[in-house]
Amino acid sequence: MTQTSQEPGSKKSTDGAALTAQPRIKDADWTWARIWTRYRFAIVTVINLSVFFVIWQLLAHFEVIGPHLIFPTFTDTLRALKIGWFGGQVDDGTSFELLRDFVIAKNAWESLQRYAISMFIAIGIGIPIGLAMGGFKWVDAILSPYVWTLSSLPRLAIYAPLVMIMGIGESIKYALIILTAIFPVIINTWAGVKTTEQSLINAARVFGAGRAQIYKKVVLPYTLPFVVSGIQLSLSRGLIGVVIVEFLTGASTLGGLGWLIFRSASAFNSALTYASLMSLAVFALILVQGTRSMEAKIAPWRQVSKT
Amino acid sequence: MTATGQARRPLIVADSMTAGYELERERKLLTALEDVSLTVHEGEFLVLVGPSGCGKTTFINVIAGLVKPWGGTVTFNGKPIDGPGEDRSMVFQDYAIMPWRTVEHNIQLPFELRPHDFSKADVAEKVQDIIEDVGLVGFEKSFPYELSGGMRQRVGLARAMVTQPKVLLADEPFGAVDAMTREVLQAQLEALVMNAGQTVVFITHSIDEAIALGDRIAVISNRPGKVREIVEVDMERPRLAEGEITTHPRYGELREHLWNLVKDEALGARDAHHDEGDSTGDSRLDRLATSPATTMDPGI
Repeated sequence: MTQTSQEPGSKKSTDGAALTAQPRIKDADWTWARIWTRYRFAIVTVINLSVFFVIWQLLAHFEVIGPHLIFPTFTDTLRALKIGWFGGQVDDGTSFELLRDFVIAKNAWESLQRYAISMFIAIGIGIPIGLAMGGFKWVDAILSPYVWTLSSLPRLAIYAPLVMIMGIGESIKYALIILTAIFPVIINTWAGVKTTEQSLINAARVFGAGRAQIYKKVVLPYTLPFVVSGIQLSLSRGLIGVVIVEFLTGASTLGGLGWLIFRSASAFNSALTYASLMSLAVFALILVQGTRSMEAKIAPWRQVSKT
Repeated sequence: MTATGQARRPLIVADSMTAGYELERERKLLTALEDVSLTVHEGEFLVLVGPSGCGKTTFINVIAGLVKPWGGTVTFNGKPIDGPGEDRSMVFQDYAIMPWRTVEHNIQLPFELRPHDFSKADVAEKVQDIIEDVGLVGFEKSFPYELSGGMRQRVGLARAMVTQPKVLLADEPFGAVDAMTREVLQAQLEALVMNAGQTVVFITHSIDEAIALGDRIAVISNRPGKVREIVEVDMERPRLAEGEITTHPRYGELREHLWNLVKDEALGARDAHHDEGDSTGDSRLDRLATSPATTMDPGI
């Protein structure tokens, strides 16, 4: 190799003599500056969150925002999290009625089941509807007034007429979650089919593709990344749906995580409210971050063309 | 390539053909080609040159079977063209290779779309052979996004040639490729079609490319396009394998003659037309490629 290393650490003046022996790639020295550039975001995040929790603790401890009934300390919230997820409650007379062993875990499981089933149905119905609307003009013409109206309408508004028809039970919960979640899938799938590049379709036609093959070999693969981003949107919409529906329908005991947040708040068990909220936030965060890499895995060809 | 002395058999015959396309937004029909009569002979390399929007792409799309002529007839081997066929394949201006397929899977596509008698191993061998011919060895498993424009068009060329079609249609295939790569690709194309004896209909904006590649050059006039003149390129082949073609004694004369023809048309175009789009409306790139003056809404 005749080229010198261009690593930032290399010193031009001293390696002039050993020019031919220089490898092109060499290990960089570990200096504090390098550690900082590499890990600065992780370090900042840790400091950032620590400060956040300390301020929270101080605000709650000195009751700046309000009494503990309204704004719990961070340590009380952690305790509620521990009991709610892993049990181990000691009955020392300080506990509130709602905070029982595993109460968050049980309600979270309840919500998760409801969420998963609804999302499967929403995606399972949404993709074929979107494909049919994109592929067949008549299906599009017939369905589009309903799809566009329902997708622009705040889904909460149809709760009242739905209650009149279905009553308050499990079915209305599923119906409302599905209605909240389904439209991004339909619309994205439809958009993917509609925007399939004409030149790709022409190429397929020149090489002998009929209508069915154009769908299979061009339109479907082209639409796949659109479907994936539709699913991503639907997943977060569905989560909103779950919380709202659990709040609206209520329950006496096991209403789900959304129900637990509202129920504990109305019972002024603020530590449990914040513990449930934090559980939901972590779940949502994992979900969003998890689906973010989904497109890169399923449709790797899209990544670079975006940059 | 032209076999001089041998009788030239007409392969594609356009007889007073008129064709165009619909401007969807304005609900108007636009005539791209009017009353065009042109014969492509078997084994020849015919190049179409002409100003932007003169209907070259429409002509090639009619031969490909993507667009139906409005009037007149176009026959292939004596039969009217009715849709695409396996004897005609095409290289596209914007490559039109599937971004989700690797290089080898893109090249293999024609075998997936049309029934054939080859075994899997035969197909794999054909694909590998053409990959070697166009210089894509080592990139078999790459996705198009990992390739440069020139490499992508090699994939497009390989896909079109892998089935050894009778006719190769090329719509400004090297227009978006850098100048150095273009010369390499031109030489590869010449070698490929000389080997296989293909008939080629090739569109270009570049007079130099036309002279380098064509046996005959048809200069198309402004929209609605007509054949203004056909120029024979009496230069022996291979022209691009070695040496510099521009030093050939005939080169300068041909270039000047063609340049005068095309210049007239291009200047005429600027005066006469301020309308929309390139010649088909089929390809988005065509629309994008038009100058700002032509894409402006005339209503404003």
